[in-house]
Amino acid sequence: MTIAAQAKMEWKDAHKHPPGFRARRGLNWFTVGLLYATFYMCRYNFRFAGPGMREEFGFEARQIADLAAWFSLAYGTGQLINGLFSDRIGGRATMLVGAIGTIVLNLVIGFSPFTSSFSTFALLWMINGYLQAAGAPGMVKTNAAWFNRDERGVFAGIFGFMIQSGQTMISLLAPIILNGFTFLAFVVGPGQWRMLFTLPPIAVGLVAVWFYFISSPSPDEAGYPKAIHDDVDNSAGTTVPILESFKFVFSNPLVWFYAVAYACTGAVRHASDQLAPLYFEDVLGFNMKTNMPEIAVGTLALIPMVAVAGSVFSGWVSDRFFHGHRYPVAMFLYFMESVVIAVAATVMALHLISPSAGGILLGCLFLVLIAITANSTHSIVGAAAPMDIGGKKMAGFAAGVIDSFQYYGAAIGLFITGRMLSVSEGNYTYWFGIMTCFAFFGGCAMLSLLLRQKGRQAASRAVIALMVLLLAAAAAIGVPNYRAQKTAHEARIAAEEAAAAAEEAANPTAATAAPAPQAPAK
Amino acid sequence: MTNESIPVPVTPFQLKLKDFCVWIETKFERRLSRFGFALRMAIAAAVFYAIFHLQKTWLADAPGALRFASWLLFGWAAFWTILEIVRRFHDLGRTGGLFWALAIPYWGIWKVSGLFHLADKFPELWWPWVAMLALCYWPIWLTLQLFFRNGTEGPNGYDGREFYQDLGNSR
Repeated sequence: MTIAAQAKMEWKDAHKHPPGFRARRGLNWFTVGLLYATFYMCRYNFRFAGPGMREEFGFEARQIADLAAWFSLAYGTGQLINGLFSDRIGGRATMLVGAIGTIVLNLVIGFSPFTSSFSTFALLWMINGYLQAAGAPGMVKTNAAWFNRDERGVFAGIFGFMIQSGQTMISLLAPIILNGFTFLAFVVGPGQWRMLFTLPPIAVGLVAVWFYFISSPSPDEAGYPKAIHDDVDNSAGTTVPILESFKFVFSNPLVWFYAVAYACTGAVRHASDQLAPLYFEDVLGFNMKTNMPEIAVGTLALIPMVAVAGSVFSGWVSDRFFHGHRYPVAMFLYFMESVVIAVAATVMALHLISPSAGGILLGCLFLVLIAITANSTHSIVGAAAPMDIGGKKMAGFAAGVIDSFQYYGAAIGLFITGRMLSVSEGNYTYWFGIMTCFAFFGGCAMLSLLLRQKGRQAASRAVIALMVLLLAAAAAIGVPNYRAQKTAHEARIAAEEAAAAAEEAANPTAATAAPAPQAPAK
Repeated sequence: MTNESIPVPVTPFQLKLKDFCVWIETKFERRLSRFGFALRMAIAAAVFYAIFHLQKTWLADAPGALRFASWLLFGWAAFWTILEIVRRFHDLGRTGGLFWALAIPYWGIWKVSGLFHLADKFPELWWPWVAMLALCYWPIWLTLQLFFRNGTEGPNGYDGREFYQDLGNSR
């Protein structure tokens, strides 16, 4: 027998489960994952509504990016709080509360006329962000009880699949809604972006009912006692007091390394996800409001699918070759990501990405490559690592803390990117450039953890010092650059307005000209 | 942290679900010969062809309920096909998880060819097909094995003997 075959047999013997267990776990995972996927439909509907909102309310790219940033802040905070609650009330209950909340919020946005003001919409969208944040900790906590440590990497990849399938569902559904359709007596006209907030909640509702009946918080409660060994706490039950969870997770240094890295994942992932439709419109010249081109729909649908392949593969590699340690694989992925995005930034700066056939192909290809690397780190750092750290009883809060940083990172990334896009008149080289910096920073965080775990404390600290220096340098260079561009941008706008006013005064148009005197009635 | 084990109550519905899952698993944990597999794949191909043909012709303007029923039939046929492929892998002494190694690349070819209308542009634009088939050499190799390779002799861990023994002990 070869070494590989021997290892395979040993793996099989170590993972023998009772009859029916794998099918039951598959059903449970599918149910939990499907609910989480539908959560995504009520979150990613926003990016498709963006162009329509921009046209209807005159929102700028900066405001659209700000909305996404506010959502991310609320979501991140929600992760922290809901993670803690999920360890107390269980993952299943947490997910159900989140599902009901997001249904209500989306329907309110879809049906209310008062969502036209920026601040009202931002407020509602932030509340939705908080409620959506019940999904990830609930899902991670439930699945932590169903998987052994060295099975979780692949699970994390599949977790990525469920997320991406939610994105795919809304990516396929949104063009249908925006193009307009008829279903029996129900008629939706083209360009009705509010429908993006009224139809996806129906899917969440249906799946939540299925979830309520089928899902089980642990194998013990599904009739499979002692089927899984938990490295952290193998006693019965899946809930712990809030304080115990808080102390355990906050005092674990591993959590903080992963949190910093995950913030970088968030900055890249959300910047590429949320701003892709605007990039399609501004750089590739697509019409994203009503008739989306096939290549745009195809790319947005293809991105999740290729991302899944990367997620599953990276999870499998960390399970099989690194004994469930996630950081070496994550480090490699972060550095690879920074190289890919740096190349994209260079290509963009050379004006090779444009509305030409070759330019569109390049533009779409880079989005796909970024998605593979960003989502691979998202799966193993965001799903597998918290389960390894917290076990079945505290995975919820561990996931909450780590995942919250993803959204804080996203908020910072979107905040910076939105402003740079605004003052640079839509120069998307900045978009790629900012993402490159975050990806490199994430790689450094994982490198530091790797060195620390190998006992090389001094080298680990040196990497941390380098990260601090990088941050200081970015602030020292970036802030003056932004201020200079902002001044130039404002001067340009003022000049344009003055020119328009002068032209208006010279040649009054019909709208501004005084009404012609009426002919006297006979 | 403690390691004591306290029995957790299980609801009757969860026990029924457990029985259902055991039943489902027994469907996968068996072998399938080359001839049986080829016969079943031929039937599956005929069923899929019939469903798609009906959807394009008779059901094109049919009420939504009928079209939905045709998709339900499609779902059942797809599940049955996956089941047979997994059983054939088990006959070869390999894991049924390899089904994904077949499904994902073939699905990828189908999506990419559809996105760029490669079927319409063939044979003028032949090289993307060659490139995609070269990338899929392993799934193609697996497919050939499914149809032509002889199954293993004796117990191989997937033919259900061990599984049924475990099942007897667990009841």
